[in-house]
Amino acid sequence: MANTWTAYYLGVAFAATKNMAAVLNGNAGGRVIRIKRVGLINAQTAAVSGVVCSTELRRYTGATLSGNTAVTPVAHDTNNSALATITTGHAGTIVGTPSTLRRWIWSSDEAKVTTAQNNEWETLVPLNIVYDSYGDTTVQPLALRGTAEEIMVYNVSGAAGLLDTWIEFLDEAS
Amino acid sequence: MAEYFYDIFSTISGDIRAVPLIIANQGGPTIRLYRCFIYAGPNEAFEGDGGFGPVTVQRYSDLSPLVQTSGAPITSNNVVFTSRKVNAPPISDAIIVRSGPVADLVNSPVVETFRVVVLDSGGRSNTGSPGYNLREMQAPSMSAVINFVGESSVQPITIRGNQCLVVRARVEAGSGNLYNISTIVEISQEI
Repeated sequence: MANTWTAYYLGVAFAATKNMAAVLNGNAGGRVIRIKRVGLINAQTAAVSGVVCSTELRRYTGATLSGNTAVTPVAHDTNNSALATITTGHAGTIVGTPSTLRRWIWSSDEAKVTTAQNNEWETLVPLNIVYDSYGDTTVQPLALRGTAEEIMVYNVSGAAGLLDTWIEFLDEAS
Repeated sequence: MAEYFYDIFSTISGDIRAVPLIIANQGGPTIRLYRCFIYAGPNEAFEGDGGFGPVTVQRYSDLSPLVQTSGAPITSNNVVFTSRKVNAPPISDAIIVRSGPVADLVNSPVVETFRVVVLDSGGRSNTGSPGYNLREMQAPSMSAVINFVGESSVQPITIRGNQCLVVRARVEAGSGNLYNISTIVEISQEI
């Protein structure tokens, strides 16, 4: 087992061209961040007039992220050595060269008790994992090297409601 | 050292705030949480909407969830604990597993959040749209909120001495009481 961490981005407001959740490895010490899973959850309980959001999973090279709202990753085991110096957060100014890995739409309406539409299905964790590197050791997980590489859930358009995102990653020496 | 696996199943109902499950490690062996399923029900006798609100899976950095500030006591009702191996040792006496209604939890110095999901605790709905209740209709396959099975490179959530894993539920004001919430957890102890 490698040292494993979960960054949970709680109740981030949708806005167009916004960083909804990011992990940026700018650690010059050479530590490598390997992304194991990225999941989304609709955990809104307040009524909102939702919209269709167009959202992407992006990888950036040459990245910087400034003015973001920081999120502190949680160690799966509190005996883990300290996490490499990385940036985890949402919002802020995005700089870098993006590559789109995934693209989907998301209903930003709150889940209601009596319906089973897109926004209700978004409450089920197993159905809303947008990146998954489990189960096959021959497949490389997405690696973020300490040369300013970044992964981001990026909202292209749509500006209503909240999104929860969780990113599970390994912190490894090489 | 060997790792032994156990299943925990709990069902709780009847308050506007509740702790479907606490696993508290009072200095016992290392506990690892591999999977956690949370779903409404089973409510075979009730059809309709229940209270709804967020359910969180969190790790507390002390044993304070075993204490509470007010309200009904945390009880050990409705917790079923099963070993996966006939000759496995029992779970350590230092591991306390509880569920029950609670008014509030005392805050720990560090509370770490792994998941937040919303849940309607309503009952069966074999006609019409189930809403959140689809979590019940599909249980347990669709109701996994934590699942590290299938990837040996990933650490499960570890509960070491003086830590608690808490599944906590709270309904929104005016939405009614919780009805049944069931929690299935797969854990191991290393001894």
